[in-house]
Amino acid sequence: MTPILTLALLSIVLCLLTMPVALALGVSSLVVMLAWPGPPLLLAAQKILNGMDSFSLLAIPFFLLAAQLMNAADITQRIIAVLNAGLGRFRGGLAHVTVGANMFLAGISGSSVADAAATGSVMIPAMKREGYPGGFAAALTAAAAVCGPIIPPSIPLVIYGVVAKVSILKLFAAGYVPGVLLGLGLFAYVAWAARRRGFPMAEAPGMAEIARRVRHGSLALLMPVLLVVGIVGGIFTVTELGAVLVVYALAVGFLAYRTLGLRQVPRLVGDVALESANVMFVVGVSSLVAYLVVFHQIPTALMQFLGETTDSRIVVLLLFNLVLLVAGMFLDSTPATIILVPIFLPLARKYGIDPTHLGLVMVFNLMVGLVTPPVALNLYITARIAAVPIWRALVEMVPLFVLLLAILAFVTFAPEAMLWLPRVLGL
Amino acid sequence: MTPAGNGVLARASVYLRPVCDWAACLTRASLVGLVGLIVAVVALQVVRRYFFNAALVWPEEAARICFIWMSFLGVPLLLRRHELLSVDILGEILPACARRWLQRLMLLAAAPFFLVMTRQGIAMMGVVEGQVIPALGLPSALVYLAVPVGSLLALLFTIERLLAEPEAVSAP
Repeated sequence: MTPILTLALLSIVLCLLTMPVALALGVSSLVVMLAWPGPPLLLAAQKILNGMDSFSLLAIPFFLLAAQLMNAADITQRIIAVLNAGLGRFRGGLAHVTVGANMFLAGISGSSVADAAATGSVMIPAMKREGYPGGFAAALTAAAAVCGPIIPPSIPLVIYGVVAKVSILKLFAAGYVPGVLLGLGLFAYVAWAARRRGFPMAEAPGMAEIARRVRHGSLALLMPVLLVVGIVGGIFTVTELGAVLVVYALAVGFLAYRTLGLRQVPRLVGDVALESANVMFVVGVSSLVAYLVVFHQIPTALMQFLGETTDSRIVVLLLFNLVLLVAGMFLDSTPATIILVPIFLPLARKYGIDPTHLGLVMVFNLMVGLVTPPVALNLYITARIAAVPIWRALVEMVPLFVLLLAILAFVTFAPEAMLWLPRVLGL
Repeated sequence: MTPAGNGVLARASVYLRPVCDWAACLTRASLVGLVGLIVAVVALQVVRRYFFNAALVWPEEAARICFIWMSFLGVPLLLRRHELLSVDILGEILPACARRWLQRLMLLAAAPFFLVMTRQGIAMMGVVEGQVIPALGLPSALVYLAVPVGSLLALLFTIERLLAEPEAVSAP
């Protein structure tokens, strides 16, 4: 117990002292390996490299690259234009558009923070111009971006699938249910808030204008559909699916929209390589930490302790939620997933919790952390775009927290409501 | 407090800059090449499998090796650009000067990690000596070589950042 406690405390302290997460975890691991008898240092290099060596993880740069290429084609603007044509006429139209845009972008990119920045930079200023309170705009965008990694593609679900050895496509299919449910919940909340607070609506554009916008946006809107087809078809692995999306995005950028130039591509590709390397470094070092956690028999000790305390699946699930919510408030989802999976998975097996179900519980919890202080990345970004103090966004966040927690409870206690989808699809 | 006041260190910093710029440029170019290779190889695999129904074994191995190299070469560049994933709450509160010294201290504290990785990466190459990657027929040590190469580059950029003013290090 002591070595792992030391590892945890030391890495938290180093992280708070602004050391990069991967290095804080790496340095702490080495300290523990030197201070307590255990595996030789040689294993440090081996575990880090082995943690990164997976064909499925290659989906990460592919999803990032596809999203970047589509971004160069201004997809956020195009999607927003189409949605505005349909939703703008309702009361609180722009807020509805924000939710819809996040759901669609969620089907293109795999990262919540990127979605919050992309939709926020367009929608928040637009909402403020029409008189929406800045805090409301910031909170809504941050919460809607939680859809990002729940609706596939999802980088956190890829990482969970690799570590827990669960079919990633199955996780993806299961993710559609809570993702869409969250979107619908947000639509309902916006409708309610819009009526109560008298948010503005826009005039509906003419048919010709709608047709023009749909034509402009159709190829961007088609990408999430292509992904659904790829998942349902069941003929691609997740990595191959990523490669198909990259080729589609290249075709759209070069041939259809002609927004991509050959000269831009190396810069885009270089940025994607760095972004993936950033995730992969954390993946590798976290794998070393996970190895040490298992080596020092934390899962066995926990299993023994829990086995003597409770035999209720509900209690165990509640415990998972509690640990994950706290972890999500402080930790990035990548290290949290990799370190906690080897602890949670044996427990889940013992208490009859489906590993696919556990994956969605974990990812949803950790994504709620993106809008929960103190490390509420999404909220910091959107509050900065809205130019409002963070507390004002937090106040507006309160009802949205209730919604997020309600859906979290649904994800946790109604696994059948999600798992039927992959089963029907034969995944 | 700048190290520029110290003659020897300042001169070292001046000589180190072009070396680091050159290394960063080369690394960045390799990253682009590696990702290009990964995309091409996996796309080839998709085409082979679904249109010719004849999957190959080597593309998957090649893609995985390129990906590992991409990750280990990316880390030093991210370190140089202050872009490694971090929790920067304290950094936003502290005054610029204190923050700079804190960052130096953290760089110094993290350097042993890269030293150990260099040494143990080379040791791993020794362990897998004689083994080959099945389909490609290349030595397995080639994969592990990424660890010391990336770590040495990271050490080089650590030294550069310790000597220079943080603002002076430009993104490549």
